[in-house]
Amino acid sequence: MNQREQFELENYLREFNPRAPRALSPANQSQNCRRLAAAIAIFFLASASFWGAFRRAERNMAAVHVKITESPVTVSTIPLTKLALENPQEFETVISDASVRTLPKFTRPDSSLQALAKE
Amino acid sequence: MEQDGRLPATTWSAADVRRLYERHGAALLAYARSFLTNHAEAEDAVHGMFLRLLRGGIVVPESEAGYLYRAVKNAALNAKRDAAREAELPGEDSWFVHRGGDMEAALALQKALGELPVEQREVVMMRTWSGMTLEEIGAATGVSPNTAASRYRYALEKLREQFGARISNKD
Repeated sequence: MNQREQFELENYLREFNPRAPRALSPANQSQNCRRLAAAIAIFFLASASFWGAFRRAERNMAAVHVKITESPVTVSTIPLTKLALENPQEFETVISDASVRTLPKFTRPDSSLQALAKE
Repeated sequence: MEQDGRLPATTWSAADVRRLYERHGAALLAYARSFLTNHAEAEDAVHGMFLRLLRGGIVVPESEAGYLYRAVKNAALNAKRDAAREAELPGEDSWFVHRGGDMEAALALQKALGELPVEQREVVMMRTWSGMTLEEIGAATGVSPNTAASRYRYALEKLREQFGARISNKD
């Protein structure tokens, strides 16, 4: 191939342009950044929500604990046995009173026993 | 590298990357397509390389274009290896657009380039569509300028066999 032929061929090749790629916009980058920021935000929201729920559950447990400790069982076996022998009527009164304070209240609005009883 | 009397930069700025993309993006895409039949994968290889440049931390090499071609080739070969397990679909469009709108000629050029050995094909692409000198091509491909010149000449001879008739008919 002589120089003229080479020149012609090179000119012919330059009649073709490589197909342009789609624009390389920083949007691609900022889009990735936005996705990352959104993922981080979702993670923190989920963490905060979980933490809040955990704290609420913890407080409720504490409240239950307080309620339990506020009503300690004051009845013991030996005085009760003695009372049952000496004064059965008084014994019935004490037992009734103790059952109200120590057993779950059937009449409470959120009582599971009440719900079960309805079924 | 020194341009317009400025001191050589150590890393590429966003403006540098934009300039390189505008200057070489299309040729690099065609180059990537010569390894990958899937246009989207080729485009991803080119974009991925430029996005890495945008992130910074890459020292500007002596031959910018040479670096870009090497990086795109590596990315394209990696993508080709990853996609090897999947069935490849034939390319849905051509790598080139003919100025006169001759789609058949564009596809013929694509086919002819695809049939060249890769080392000849890359020399033609670097020289024709990125305007690189034979010294730059030699540095980019790891051969001497003379070897690059030989590869270029061999490639043109093969292309002449394919397109000689078309060129003669134009005259």
